[in-house]
Amino acid sequence: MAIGELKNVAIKGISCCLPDNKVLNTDYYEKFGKELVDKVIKMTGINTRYTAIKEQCASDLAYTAAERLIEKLHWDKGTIKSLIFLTQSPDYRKPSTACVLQHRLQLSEYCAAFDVNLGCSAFIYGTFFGSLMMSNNDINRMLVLIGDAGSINISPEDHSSILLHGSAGSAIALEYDPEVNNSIKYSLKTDGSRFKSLYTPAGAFRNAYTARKELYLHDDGITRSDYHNFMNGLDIFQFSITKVPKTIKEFLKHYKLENDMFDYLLLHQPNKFIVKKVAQKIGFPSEKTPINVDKFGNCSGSSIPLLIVDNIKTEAENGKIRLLASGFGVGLSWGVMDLTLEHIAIPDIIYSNEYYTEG
Amino acid sequence: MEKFKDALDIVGEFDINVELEEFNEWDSMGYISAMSMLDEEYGKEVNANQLKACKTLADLYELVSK
Repeated sequence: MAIGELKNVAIKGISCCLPDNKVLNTDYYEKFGKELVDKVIKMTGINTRYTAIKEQCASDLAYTAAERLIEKLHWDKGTIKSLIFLTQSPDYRKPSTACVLQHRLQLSEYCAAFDVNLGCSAFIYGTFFGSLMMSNNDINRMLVLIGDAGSINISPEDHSSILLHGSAGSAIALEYDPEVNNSIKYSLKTDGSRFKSLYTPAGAFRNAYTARKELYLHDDGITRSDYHNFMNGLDIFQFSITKVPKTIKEFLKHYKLENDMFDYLLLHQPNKFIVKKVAQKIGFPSEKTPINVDKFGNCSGSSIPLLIVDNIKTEAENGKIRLLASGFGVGLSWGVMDLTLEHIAIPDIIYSNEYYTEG
Repeated sequence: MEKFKDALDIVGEFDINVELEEFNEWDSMGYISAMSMLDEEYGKEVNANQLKACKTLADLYELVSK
């Protein structure tokens, strides 16, 4: 079982950056019809989203989030020994976008950098990776960056995806600290048998010779190209409301933890319905389960950082809070984590359309 | 029957052998509502294929009673 405990790691700060480009779902009345759009809004609870402008990549958002966080923490950039970037919308097929970010952030050469291809479970996996990498005390400061800006990956005709997704980047600063009492506990899972429930068939190496670039009508009634995101919504929904609560319950039982030991339950935010359902199934009070998908849409791996930065900022900055967190989705990949935030640095959410001009 | 109507927001009278396809509400979002209702009310976890295989309300009922 990929279930364990990591010690001596402190989360020092978290920041998020969104594109300065707010989109209202009601703007799609003309395109998809009022009835359909209203139905989607009602089911998902998503009213507004922030989507990347054409030139902007996920890495641009993560870069800005990282710069602002380093500044707020007054970290000397030379002390950052690793940067990992979790994304499904990299700048290039190669190299790892983390290498480009190491350069853009002007980090030292003594810095381990690589990408991890994960989406909705990225916060959990990123915190796990980061904590694990610091267990030797050779890397004593690092950045876990997360970002997705999926707009170009979504067919303009696909109401089932386009109305749900938001772009966002986030940065998490980790520091080795032998004085930290609270360990980070985790459980990580994968069900690759359902990889086709949420995937982009073309754009990498598989299907390279057969992929169709033009938009065409698929069996599910959606018009898209093979380079666009496909989602079997029903399958993902079923997974989210069964496997996710089951794993959370199993995790709590394993470590003999109770719901009331946690200040908040932070769930990935695919839509309001799923968040409420998962909380309800594990018996977690709704007032301690913040939701922000109504404002930001589904922001992939940055959903949980956004909850921290937007919903519980004051408490995380001024006190100590214990969180039960779970990220789940594409892969299918999911994880649960018990983590504590104590007096961490949180810059206000940044809204920016800046992008890298030397790419 | 009532639970089904509530979940999908359907009004009107019909019989248990009604073809589900007759309802405009029996679409991807309808499936989600039905799946959620079966889980909540009957503690029954059905998968996407099982649900899509249901042609009539009676089929759905049978799925729950299995």
